[in-house]
Amino acid sequence: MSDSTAVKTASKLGLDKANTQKWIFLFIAIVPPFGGYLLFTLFPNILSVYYAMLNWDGFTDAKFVGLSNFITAFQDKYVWRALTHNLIFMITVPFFVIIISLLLAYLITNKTYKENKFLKVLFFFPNVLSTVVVALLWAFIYDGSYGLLNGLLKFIGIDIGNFYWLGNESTALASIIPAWVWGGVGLYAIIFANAMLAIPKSLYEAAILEGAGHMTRLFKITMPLVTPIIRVSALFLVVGTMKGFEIILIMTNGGPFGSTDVIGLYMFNLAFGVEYRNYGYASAVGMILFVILVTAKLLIDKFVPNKGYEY
Amino acid sequence: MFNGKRNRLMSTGAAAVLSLTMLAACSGNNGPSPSATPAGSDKPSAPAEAEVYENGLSKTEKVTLKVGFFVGGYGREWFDYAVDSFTAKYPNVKVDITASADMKTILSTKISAGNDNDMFDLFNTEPSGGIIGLAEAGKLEPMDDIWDFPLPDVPDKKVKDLMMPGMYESTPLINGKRYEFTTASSFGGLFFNKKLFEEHGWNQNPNTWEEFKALLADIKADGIAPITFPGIHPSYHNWAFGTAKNFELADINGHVEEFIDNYRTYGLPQYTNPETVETWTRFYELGKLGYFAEGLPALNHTQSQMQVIQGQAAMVSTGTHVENEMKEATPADFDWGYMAVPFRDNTDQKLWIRSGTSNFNYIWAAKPELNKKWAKELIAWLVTLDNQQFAAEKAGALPMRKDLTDDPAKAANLSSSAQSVLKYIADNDAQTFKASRSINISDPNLAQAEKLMNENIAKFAMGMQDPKPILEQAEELLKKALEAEKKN
Repeated sequence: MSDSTAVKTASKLGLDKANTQKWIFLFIAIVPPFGGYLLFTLFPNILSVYYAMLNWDGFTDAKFVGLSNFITAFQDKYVWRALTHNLIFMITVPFFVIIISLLLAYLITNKTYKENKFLKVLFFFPNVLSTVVVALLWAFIYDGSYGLLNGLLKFIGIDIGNFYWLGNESTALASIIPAWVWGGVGLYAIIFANAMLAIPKSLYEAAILEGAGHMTRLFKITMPLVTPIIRVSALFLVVGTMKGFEIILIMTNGGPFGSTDVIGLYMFNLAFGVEYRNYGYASAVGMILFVILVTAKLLIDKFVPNKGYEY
Repeated sequence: MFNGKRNRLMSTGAAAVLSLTMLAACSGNNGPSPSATPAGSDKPSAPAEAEVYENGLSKTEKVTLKVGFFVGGYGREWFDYAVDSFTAKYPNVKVDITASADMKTILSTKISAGNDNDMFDLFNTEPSGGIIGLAEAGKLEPMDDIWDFPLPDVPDKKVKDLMMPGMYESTPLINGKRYEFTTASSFGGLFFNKKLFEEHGWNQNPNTWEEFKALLADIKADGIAPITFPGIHPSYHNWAFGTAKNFELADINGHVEEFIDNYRTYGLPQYTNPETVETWTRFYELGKLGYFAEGLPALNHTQSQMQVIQGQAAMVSTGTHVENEMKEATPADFDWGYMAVPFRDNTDQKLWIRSGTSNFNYIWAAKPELNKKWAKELIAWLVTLDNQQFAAEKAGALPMRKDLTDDPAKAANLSSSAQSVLKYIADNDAQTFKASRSINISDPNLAQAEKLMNENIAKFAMGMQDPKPILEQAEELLKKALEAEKKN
């Protein structure tokens, strides 16, 4: 064997080894999470399409009822009412979370407060708390007898007596929004702040030299460059708000008089209710939720610009 | 129909979809140990006399009982106490307890998963959706025989002989069999601060509906909300104003047995029969008079009970668990009083009280025979005098043993709420009864009927909604549900 052949063979062996290692790495990196996704997410989700066609309480023999559960769900006024509430949350919560998060992020990154690090921790704090704690905290704020809100209003001269914000049909739904927003702002403020910090300083320096003012720099440099992050955040927030119901379960349990009921809570009670339980019907409601989520995703894809800028 | 494997596959998938994706709290992993030592569990054996206990079970066969324990208002201290003495007496039996306040969800998930080996041998609360479907499917072990067991501490008496009157009769029947056994009685009604009543000179035992209304007027005139309950969980109204009142009216009208039978089987009319309409109408009238606490729709059960402790409301609709549940927040000298809501017009008519079954127990049928036998022994052990007294004194549970409640020396140590309830029942010769269904309906129209009612309870209480049109709508939905069930 000539030297050149030996070198080639050694090189080929080296490449083969590298190739093998690469495939082993890919296998180890991809198969467990992908397998978990198939087993615990995709498989049960596909199965639930089938469950939605059953009259089944989970204990006894299932009865195939075809599309009956879907027909009932479309005629169920509670489904539509819950979806209306979801729609309100889906619009308001992501909107306020993004606006407030952007504002906080901008202040943190552009103002040289010496407390910046502390403020970041403070903003993030609600994300460390469990949803249960956040919900209970806000339930106490809204309490009619001892609530902080009534006390604050009284302090500034507005005495509304023992008004129970969560006990009134006209205020309960709106009262949940600040709690939900407060619980979500911190995480997105940190995400946006880091995105803003990643923008090269030279862009701002060049703009300043060319006479760009504060607002011009914000809307011509900062916002366009963080748009992809906002887009992804909007998607997470819309989907999360549509699915979420834990905060409502604790604060109002869908009340008063159903005025804060949402589709996830309704579905949960259909599947795990104290007196009533029907996995089939709950799955049908879940399928409707699934279709809505996919639609929301497509709408965001279509209407929120997906234009990234390179720098 | 579906075969077992397919059903199990479906069950597992459904539990995963509805539990994992909706973040339902599901846990309950008890470790890898099997439910029982399999060897010999089901073997017919005739061990030598010295190797068996007085109950005929082997001293040498080791058994692990897996218990799913719901931690409710009575806590778990009383159960641990009973288990300690049980395992000391029967050292071959180990009791593996999974305790949770969310046991209903844990049970539902385990049952839907369809793995009998992973399921508890014994559990003390209903899974979500109730037990009728389970019993009908043969998943639960009938418990009729426990009532004829000799009492472990009074072997010459049967369990049935020393139980509180009415408890055996109140145990729900499904297809003629009893599938649950309660080890503590529980009663619903209005609980109040005795001292506050004494200070204001309010009537602590109104005998009739008119006297009751006069009491509420007196309380309101003194600037205190007469009644509260948690509007977030409006079914709490049922402890004082619920089905027992329908039964009371049906009794006054002379057809209570027919009424109860109709209730059990969802016989029509269910929501619009005269007694049910009358009950809700009276409830609504109290609401219109402003007798329920302001802000009630926003209250959870702890907040509503706190209102009574803090003197903002005079009475709360709840059960006898209230004393133990609120013990951390109650002043040491607080004395709980109790009354039922009398719907009767005179004392010749019977007063009905909602009887609960706290700490009711169920045994999973697909477990080894030996486990089921020991599970029944453990249940019988829970009604020994020592265990009953401990549960009554430490947890405020109302005893099942009448030789405890009949003995003034022993009864003197019961919690103040338990004493108040027992005295009230004796003074008023009240009829206690547990309302239960004997058939299961899974059609979604029933869920809508129940949701409709639940959402309007707080409206009735606030005097904002006449119950009659709501009851009519609920009746229509129930009719649809029954028709759909017939078709299936």
